[in-house]
Amino acid sequence: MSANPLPNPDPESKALRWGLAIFFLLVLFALIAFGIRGVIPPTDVREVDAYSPWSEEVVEAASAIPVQDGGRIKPLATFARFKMLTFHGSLTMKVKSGGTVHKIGPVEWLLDCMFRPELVDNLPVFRLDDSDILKPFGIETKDRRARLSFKDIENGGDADEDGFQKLINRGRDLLQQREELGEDSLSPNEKKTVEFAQLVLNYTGIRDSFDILRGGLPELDPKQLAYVDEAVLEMLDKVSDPSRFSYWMPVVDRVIASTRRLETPEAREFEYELNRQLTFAKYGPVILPPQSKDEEEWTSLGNGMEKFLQGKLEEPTAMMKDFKALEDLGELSKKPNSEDFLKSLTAFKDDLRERAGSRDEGEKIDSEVSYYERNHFMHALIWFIAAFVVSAIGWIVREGKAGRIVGWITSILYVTGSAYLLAGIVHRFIITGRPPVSNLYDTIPFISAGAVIVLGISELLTRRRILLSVGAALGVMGLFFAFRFELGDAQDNMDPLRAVLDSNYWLATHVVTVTIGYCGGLVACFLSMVYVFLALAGVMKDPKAFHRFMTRAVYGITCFTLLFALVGTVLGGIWANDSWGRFWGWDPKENGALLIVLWCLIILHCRLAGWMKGWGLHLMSILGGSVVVFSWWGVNMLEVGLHSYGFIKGASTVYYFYFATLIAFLVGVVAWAIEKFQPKQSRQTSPVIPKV
Amino acid sequence: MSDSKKEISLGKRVFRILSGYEIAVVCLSLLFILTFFGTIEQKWFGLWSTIHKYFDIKSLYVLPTRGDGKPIFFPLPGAYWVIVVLGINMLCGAIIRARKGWKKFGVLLSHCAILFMLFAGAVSSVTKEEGHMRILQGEKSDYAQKLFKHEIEIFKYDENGDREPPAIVRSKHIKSLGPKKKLNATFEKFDFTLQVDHFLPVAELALASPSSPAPDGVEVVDGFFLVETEKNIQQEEANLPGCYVTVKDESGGTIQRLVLWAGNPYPVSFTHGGQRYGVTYLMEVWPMPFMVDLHRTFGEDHPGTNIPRWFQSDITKIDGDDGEQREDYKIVMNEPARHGGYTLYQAGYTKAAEGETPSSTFAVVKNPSDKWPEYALYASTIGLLIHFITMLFRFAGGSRPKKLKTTEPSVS
Repeated sequence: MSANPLPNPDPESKALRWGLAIFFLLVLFALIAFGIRGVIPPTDVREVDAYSPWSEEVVEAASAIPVQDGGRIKPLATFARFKMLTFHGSLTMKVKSGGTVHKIGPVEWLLDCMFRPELVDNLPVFRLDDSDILKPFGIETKDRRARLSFKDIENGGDADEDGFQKLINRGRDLLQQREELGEDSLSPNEKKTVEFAQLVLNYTGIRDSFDILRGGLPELDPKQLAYVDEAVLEMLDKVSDPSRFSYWMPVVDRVIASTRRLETPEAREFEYELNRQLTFAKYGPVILPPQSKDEEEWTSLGNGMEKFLQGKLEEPTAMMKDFKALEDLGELSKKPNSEDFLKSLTAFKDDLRERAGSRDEGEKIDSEVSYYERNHFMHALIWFIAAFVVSAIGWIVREGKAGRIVGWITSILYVTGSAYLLAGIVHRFIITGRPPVSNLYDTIPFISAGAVIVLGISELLTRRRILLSVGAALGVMGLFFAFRFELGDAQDNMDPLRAVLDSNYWLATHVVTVTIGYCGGLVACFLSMVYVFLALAGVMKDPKAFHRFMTRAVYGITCFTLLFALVGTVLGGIWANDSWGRFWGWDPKENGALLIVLWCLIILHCRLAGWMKGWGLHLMSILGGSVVVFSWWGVNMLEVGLHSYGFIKGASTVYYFYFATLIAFLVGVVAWAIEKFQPKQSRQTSPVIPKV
Repeated sequence: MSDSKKEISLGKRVFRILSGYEIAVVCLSLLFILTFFGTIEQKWFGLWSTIHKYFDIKSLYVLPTRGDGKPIFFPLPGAYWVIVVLGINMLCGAIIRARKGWKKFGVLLSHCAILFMLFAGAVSSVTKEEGHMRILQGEKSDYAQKLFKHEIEIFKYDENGDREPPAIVRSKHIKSLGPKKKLNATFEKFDFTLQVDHFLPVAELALASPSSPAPDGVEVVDGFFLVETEKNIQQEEANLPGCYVTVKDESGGTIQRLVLWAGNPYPVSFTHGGQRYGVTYLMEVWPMPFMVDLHRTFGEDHPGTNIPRWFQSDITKIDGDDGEQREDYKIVMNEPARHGGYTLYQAGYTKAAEGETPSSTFAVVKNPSDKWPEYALYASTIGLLIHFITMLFRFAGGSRPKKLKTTEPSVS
């Protein structure tokens, strides 16, 4: 392997090169800090009395419980992951108890919701980005951005109503206003209030869905029921305890009817609690497979109970068995890390897995649990950061044995990062069973991988270490963006597709092709950005050769982008013709793809007309990056057109990118002007690009 | 030099201009700007209105505006005409004038293919017809309806109360009317005329009552009146027109005054000469040269969600005068049925509640250039691949650092 980096060393510019290396490292660290800001929760650790963590074995067993959610069977770990992201905006929270700090992950948090509501209400579950919206409800926070527990919300309010009630009532009023007068009738803060109220309400739904398992029903002497319905007494499950739901379950509908007729305060309270528990049980995870092979819909505990009471179950005793197993778990969870609890939980999970397996469902649960545990993309990110740092050292140490060693280390780190990135994409492909790009999230690792591979292959062909530096930086940025998008979106990105999209042929052809086109446009943009910054710094000993190389590379990648963007766009038209009956409809997503094609064509034709030499190409290529990002993300933010499944709200990172390209463009103009107005003898000549 | 300039004829000079890179770059740039503004304006004005503003054949120029209507750019030529000029430029420059040879084969092929694609678009914009056909499971239909065109049908009821074949006032005649213009329609089969007036392109039918009377100056007919409403920019098919109609006898005397609204599925009726007639204002009927028999329509949502997983319609297409030519088709999303220049797409299906019959809605399209873009794609891909792969090899060959010229030690 040759190690002949192009930025040839000029002894006089050593300080500049050091400066440049440090500058790029600072940029990288700023980027990492920006990414971490969204990934890691605030450092304030909440004090929660008597919090004991779940054991690893319990978490492991619970993780693999099958759940039906979003139209597919997935592990409870995935369900918990995206629920926690919705509420908390992060995948971990820290609490302090008895002087020890405990880290709570999604599964631990969901287990707390299920079995320890008295603790979960103290956990800082709710992420709040603008605390002003809670001031009217008497809920105060230290900072504008905060994380609140349910208790924090409840403790607000006044003597008449607690904070939770106030918030929910206001949310309900605003919703009604929106229905009557439209979305625009609400101010931005009112919209945020509605969203937050819905979030808190959803949380109580999940938390209270397991109340039915916890026992603690108000006291009611069963004999009282005999006054109105004598037969009921005989049908109660006497093996159980009257404080547990299962005791009343066989005839719970008749029990409710009887208590209603008794009209005593105890009976009324009892009836209210039974109804409340039955209602909330519907909002829990959908964990019970249907009894009939013909049915596809699984049920939550509450919906299962409803079917039981309506006599719609083929095997009501099986439902009783499931319920009792869960109720026992609820009882045993009072000692969360006991052997008995773990045994019961494992047995319950195994039973559900077996039943799912007999229906040919849930066979990829273990693979999915392992996908999130292995965290391929996080590994890739770390390797790419390392590759970039080492490649930056290579800008300074480039000669001799040390230079070669640095080159080898960079290559090894780069290849390892790429392997992890590809492993993540392949693993997702295996789990979902569909081509690697089928939703907006998928495009991010795919484009990152494409960029890394294109630059890696280019490096292999040209042996310029600068391409590995750019590739590693793109890998880092892409993966940070993927993490940020997942956190912000908080939607399971492996859920099945709607009918119009569910075509592996078109996903594998149109979507993959057009995404490769995006990738090409971005790679060209970043290469040009690197070029203009280096040219402005003037650190090249042989700037002419460097200019020629970079210009040829960007030109080649622009051709690559045109090929894939054009083919992808036309394939999209053919797909649209088969789906909607028209080849081209000037829909924003279609237009976005066309804009990339037109931009590339303008570049190539300007070049052919002789109006654009090296500098023009780089400047156009930088702006082309914005065109690609507009097509990739910007059009989705317009929220119009037939591609409604790709709509997104507030992807602020996109604006940072537009800003970055503008800055790079201006830097490029300055660098070009400096070069143009230099004395003639030292001016570079334009590079020779092969004519098309 | 001046002599050689004189030798160039005017025709050649025009040809050179038309085939030049200047025209190509200007057209591509204009198209880029138009596409960009034509995309972001959809946020405020919706897809349909924006397409008509920017890309319609009738748009000679456009003025990009913000949501509040204020201009944000200077006037630009309409995209349709920019594409026409670009097409001419491609024909003259990239195909006729360009040097021919094996080295240029890829470029030539891809330009030909793109030109063919533009031609397909032009053919489609002139000749394409589309409509929707909704059929209940177990029933047949031999017509589709055009969503954006509405026509008035006048028919006579026979002794059994069934409709006789109607006379029609076409959409193109009605939509050119404003609220002030009037249209007089005469029919060979009827001895009365119809005067259409007060046409409103987007309207609602309202019931006049003491609590909500008609606004001043608005005519109330049989207790109903038309209200002009705001255009729905997101759903063009939700914009339903309305008009008033006067039925007049041969002497010009008024027989009946009627109010028609395209959202009213029921005909309004009047009696003339002891005979009962009906008038409806409905989506333009597009007769098909075949009958579609919908045997079964069914589908599934992803379990526990309202997200459709798939839906399918099993149909038989019945052709010929005696209905002997029968062909079975299975229509699913992304797999339409194509036959005889017509294509039937599964546009939607309605699940039936208990005791009801499910129905299927097909988008029907007649487009002679239906598959042309696909053929153009194959050709352009092959052309670009040939060209760019050749370039890639040249790039790779010329990009390696020349070891001999460097002063650094080469390492392998």
